[in-house]
Amino acid sequence: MQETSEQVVEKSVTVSAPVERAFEVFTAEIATWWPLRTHAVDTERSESVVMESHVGGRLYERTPSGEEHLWGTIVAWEPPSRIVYSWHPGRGAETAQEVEVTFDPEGDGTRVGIRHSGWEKLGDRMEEAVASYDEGWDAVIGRYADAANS
Amino acid sequence: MAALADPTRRTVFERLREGPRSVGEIASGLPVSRPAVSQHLRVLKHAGLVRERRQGTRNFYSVDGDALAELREYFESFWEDALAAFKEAAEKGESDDAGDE
Repeated sequence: MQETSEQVVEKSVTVSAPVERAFEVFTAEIATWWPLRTHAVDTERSESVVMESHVGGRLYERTPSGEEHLWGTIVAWEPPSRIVYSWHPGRGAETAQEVEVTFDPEGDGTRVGIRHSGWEKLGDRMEEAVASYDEGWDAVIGRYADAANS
Repeated sequence: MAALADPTRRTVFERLREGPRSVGEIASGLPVSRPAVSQHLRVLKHAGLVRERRQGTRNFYSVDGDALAELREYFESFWEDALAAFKEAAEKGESDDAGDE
């Protein structure tokens, strides 16, 4: 297998909003922007995302009928500069990775960074973890399967 | 990823995580025949999860490391998409006082 230390995904974006606002949009208002039609366990029915604003709080999607799919649990809650949550949407918590989101002032705006790590916990079980997304998470499966079959 | 939906197939894949194995080695200890194991390996290979290497007269199977790279690539674009949507939302609220969208 490859070096597991390479298996960290880092992404960032700079927005014109101040840090406090950026934090609020990312957390309390996550339902207003999260692309549920492509990034969800139940891409067809889910219509809301909830991030509970405290350590131990849950991050989950919800369908109109009240069905919930857990994505992870908040492990660090430091408004307005940083949050960390476990990440195992549609999978068991034993396959959880970790997502850290940081909010840093940049000019009049905010640089929002994502650090998706914890791959070493899975190592070469990663493929299996993807497999267990199975029902739903269509984008994951579709894209992954396309790539794997090409 | 229907390739791993079958429990036996998953067990076959699990066994390969420990290192390269021949069909015989994989089959030993499993309550299925060698032809059945071969069939599962074919499906896993087709899904890009397992690769095959011939050594002498035997074929050895191992987990395909490229699958991990593909997954990483998926998460890269996953967060790119999510952050693009986030940026739009964060700056929409801003447009009241910052007219530079």
